[in-house]
Amino acid sequence: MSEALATLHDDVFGRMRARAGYHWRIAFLVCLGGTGLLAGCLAWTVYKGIGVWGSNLPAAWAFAIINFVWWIGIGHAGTFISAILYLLEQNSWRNPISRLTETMTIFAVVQAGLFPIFHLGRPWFAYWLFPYPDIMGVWPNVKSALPWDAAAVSTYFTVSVLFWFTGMLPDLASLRDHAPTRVQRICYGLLAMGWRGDARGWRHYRVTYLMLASIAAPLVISVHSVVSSDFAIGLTPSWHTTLQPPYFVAGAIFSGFAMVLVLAIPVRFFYRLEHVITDRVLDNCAKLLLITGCIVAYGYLIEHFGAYYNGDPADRSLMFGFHPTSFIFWAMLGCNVVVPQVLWSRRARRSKLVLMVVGVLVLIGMWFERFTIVVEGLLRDQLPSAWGNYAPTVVDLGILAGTLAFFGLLFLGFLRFMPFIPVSELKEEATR
Amino acid sequence: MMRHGIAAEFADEPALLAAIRRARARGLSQLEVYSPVPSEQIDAALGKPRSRLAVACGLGALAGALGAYALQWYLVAYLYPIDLGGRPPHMPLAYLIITIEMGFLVGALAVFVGFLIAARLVRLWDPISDVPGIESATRDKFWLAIDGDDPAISQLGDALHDAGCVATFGGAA
Repeated sequence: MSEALATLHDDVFGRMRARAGYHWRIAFLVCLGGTGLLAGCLAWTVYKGIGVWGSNLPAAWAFAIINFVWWIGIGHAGTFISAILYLLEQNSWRNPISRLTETMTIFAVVQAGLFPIFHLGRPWFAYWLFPYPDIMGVWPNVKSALPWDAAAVSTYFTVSVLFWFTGMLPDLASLRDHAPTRVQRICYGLLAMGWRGDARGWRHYRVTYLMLASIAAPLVISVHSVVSSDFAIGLTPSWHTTLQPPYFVAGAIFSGFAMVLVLAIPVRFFYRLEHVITDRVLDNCAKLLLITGCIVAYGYLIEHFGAYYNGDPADRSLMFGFHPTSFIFWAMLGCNVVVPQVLWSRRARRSKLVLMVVGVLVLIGMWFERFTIVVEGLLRDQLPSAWGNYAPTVVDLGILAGTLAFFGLLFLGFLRFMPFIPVSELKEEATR
Repeated sequence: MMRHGIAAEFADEPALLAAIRRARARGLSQLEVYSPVPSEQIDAALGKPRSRLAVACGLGALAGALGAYALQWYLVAYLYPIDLGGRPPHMPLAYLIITIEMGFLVGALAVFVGFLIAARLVRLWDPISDVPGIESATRDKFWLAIDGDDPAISQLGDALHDAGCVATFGGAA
């Protein structure tokens, strides 16, 4: 047993700690540049005001909210894999990618959090969302959706970080104990917080991990349900429906699994981890992508049936009429409903190229979905005199591209310096 | 924390379990194990009960949820009631979302802080860290440490010498 543990340890840590190749360096530089773009665009937004964005009445919610919903959604698959599959004891295929996907969750929520804060217009007052004692005597109105979002997203972020960090402790301690340099030993030593693998520690660790998983699992459902409530409590056509929470959550997990494939396939290729992140892992992710895709397709069906059945003329014309942005709806259907059907084929699920292409298309399709949800209803509400058009500005596009780069930058940094495969969990699985 | 004692390395879990049983049979009770993986057999052999941190989590979640509801009522219905769209100042349905979220948040923080305390973490150095080769405990080997203050340690005899290499730490036992 000991040889098996030693082999596993040396193999996986050896691959993770391998010197960064030129692929990594080029990707890092590109992401660094994009992050500079993000910083520049955000600085410009703060300096000039949010008038530099394309969002204006009637589309007061546009890129900022689309991107917020999209990024938060991407995070969901990470928690789904790390918490729900853990509780369902799917460890044999959950463990190899759980750390990668948790990391994806946290970094995606970081991107998502930027948008509502900068959309406030005066981001330096973002703390007004939280109740704190002051001389103004004004308190947040919790009957509004904004404090709900603040509570849901900050809870999700905090719990995800705790879960991620707790799970990482044994691996950080491994890195500390086997670090080649003193600087690394000190850095990993501080991060490992004195974890030694003692029986007392493990005894409490296992219950803590289980409890955090039990809390993270309902959070997967609750976060996007709360985000969808921002829409569902409004009277805008297509927003005001009880379909929103499950529809949002299914879409979120769907886009998240697409991102998992897009991240895991290059990682396993460049770090030569094909024997850890096996074909079976990717195959199962693809199956879940297909399942959630079918739920999303059902959501589209019910959304249209609801518009037909409730008889509201604004809802009906929005769902069944043609608009300037209708092509986005059709592109969305192509990406989210038609493309994933290829995954019924076992050969397609075994092909990394097909999985990458499907993943990217689903991510694009889900962005389109968020666009149709957020913008179309605002442009075509009940009062035709209030109709309008929407176009994003260069700053909007720069911020969207910039968050992709910033996400990549954080992720590449994590790959370089942190244990992105949960070796201690693989060892535990190997000893069973 | 063990200030001083004896530590021994074992190649695998069955050898460690046998050593724990023999040590306990000789009346040794101040034992600690360092292992690369968690194991229920080790806990059972050491005679340790299951962690009760789940209780801390539940109490934290309850306190978080009740506290959040009370705070929302105090702020929105009592201190600063504003009428928007005719919604009543005390509106349980609207308060429910933050109540649930704060239950999750405080429950998670409670179990995490409880873990740091119960597992005695954030203590970066421990005398056991000075044992040569102890770093194998985070790789592949299983270690058993016996506290030098254990009243039965003088009767230890050759129990550990039989089973593997032995190192003392923190001065003579």
